[in-house]
Amino acid sequence: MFGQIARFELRYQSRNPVFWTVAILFFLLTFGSMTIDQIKIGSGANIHKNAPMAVAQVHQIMSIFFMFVTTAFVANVIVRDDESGFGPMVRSTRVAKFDYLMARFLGAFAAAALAFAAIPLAIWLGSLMPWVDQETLGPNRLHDFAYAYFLLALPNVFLTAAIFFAVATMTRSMMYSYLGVVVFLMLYLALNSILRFKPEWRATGS
Amino acid sequence: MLELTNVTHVYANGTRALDDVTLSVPNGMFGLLGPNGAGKSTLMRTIATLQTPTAGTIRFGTIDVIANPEALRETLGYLPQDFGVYPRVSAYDMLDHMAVLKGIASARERKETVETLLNQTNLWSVRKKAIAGFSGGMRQRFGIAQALIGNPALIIVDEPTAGLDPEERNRFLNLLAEIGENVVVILSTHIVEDVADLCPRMAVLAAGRIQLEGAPLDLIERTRGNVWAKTIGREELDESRLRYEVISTRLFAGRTIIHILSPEDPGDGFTAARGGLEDVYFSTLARSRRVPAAETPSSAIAA
Repeated sequence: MFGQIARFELRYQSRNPVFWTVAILFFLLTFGSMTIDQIKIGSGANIHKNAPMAVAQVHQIMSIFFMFVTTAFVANVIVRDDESGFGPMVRSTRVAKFDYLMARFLGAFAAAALAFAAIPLAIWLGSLMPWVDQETLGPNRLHDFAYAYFLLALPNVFLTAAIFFAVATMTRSMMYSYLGVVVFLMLYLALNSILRFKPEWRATGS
Repeated sequence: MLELTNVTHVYANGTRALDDVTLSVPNGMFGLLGPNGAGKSTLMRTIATLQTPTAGTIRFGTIDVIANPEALRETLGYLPQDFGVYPRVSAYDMLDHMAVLKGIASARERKETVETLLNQTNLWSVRKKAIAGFSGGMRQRFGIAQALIGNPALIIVDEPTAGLDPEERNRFLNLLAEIGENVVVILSTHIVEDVADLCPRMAVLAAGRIQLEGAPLDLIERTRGNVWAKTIGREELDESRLRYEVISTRLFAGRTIIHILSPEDPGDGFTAARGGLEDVYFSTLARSRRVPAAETPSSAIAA
């Protein structure tokens, strides 16, 4: 039952135009940063564009902006039943609250993870483009990409998915969920810049 | 057998939507007739375990529905009033998903169930189309298909024919008629013909109370000789309303046919009405309006 519900959710989300729009948008942005000098993501230090450090940095920065996307997916899970008017039917079935919520959360998270895969894909494809100065590129190593995607990006996506799933469950509103993201993002940025100037607080801050 | 005892529901704003409803519903098709805002949907939602009544008990067979709603949900089919669907999901996928939610775990069994129901409801040819694009009738047929998943013993259909064209309505009623006689089917509607066509037993709900209960044929028999009809001009209507207890007025070829309630022949050109379920219904409503008007001005009743 659990698996079936999660699979339905993943299929539903991946057919949503939002899914493809976002995947293409993030792909193009990252692809652009690899192949055009005018677009830069991260420090742009004197290292290869696909160096492990650069790949990791792109993943981290993008995963912060991706919060909005993740929220769109997971909040949709909560809001959809009441918005569409399908809720009464679902609530009259025997499905347990845990299965219903957790399986759908997992499905939506999987959709977000899938959409995020556009970013490593864009880095890799970008590095293969013939017009990119070969001097700025190093070898593509699978485990650098895997490290950045699975150990840096996915935990971020999962954490934000869980936080904003909770916000959406409590507020039952898309609007408040996005508001939550904005507040979260501002707190994060404020905290970051404070810690930059107050190194002595870093231990508590992190 | 579904038994409701003294079910009362008061909404947070003080609206008394259900007032001491006691009703026992045997196997077969049961019609719940009432005007808009009578409390029909509240009653349907309450039986479907979507809301808990303020007071009263509901039992279905051995299940205490209020204490143990999960047990009822295992054997419940519910078609809510004007429901919506997810965008971009086909009829097949949605039915399959509902079958999952209703606990049919094996993929083979689900496929069988969904395919049978799609055929039964005549949706097979459009099974791959998005339900969001369905016409009203197709959507209702999808609604009854999902309600029938898993052979429920209690089926609740809330205002299913509202807004359907006559052909679609017929098709839908035929579908309902096919449901076995060994299950309880509650059909709530404000359309008298729905009940007259289908239901061996019925009740009238108005102002949150059960006003009348019985078999339509008996009820029709009982009003016979009490209802009189006359064709009058529009300008005579107000005068007639004063003199008689008018239960219904209907236009026919530009003239008005009024039906009145009277224990004996009122003369004055009235003839005995043939007597149909409509007369039963309207005389019950007329009576129900008279009673609360005598007590206190009743508060508005929400649906």
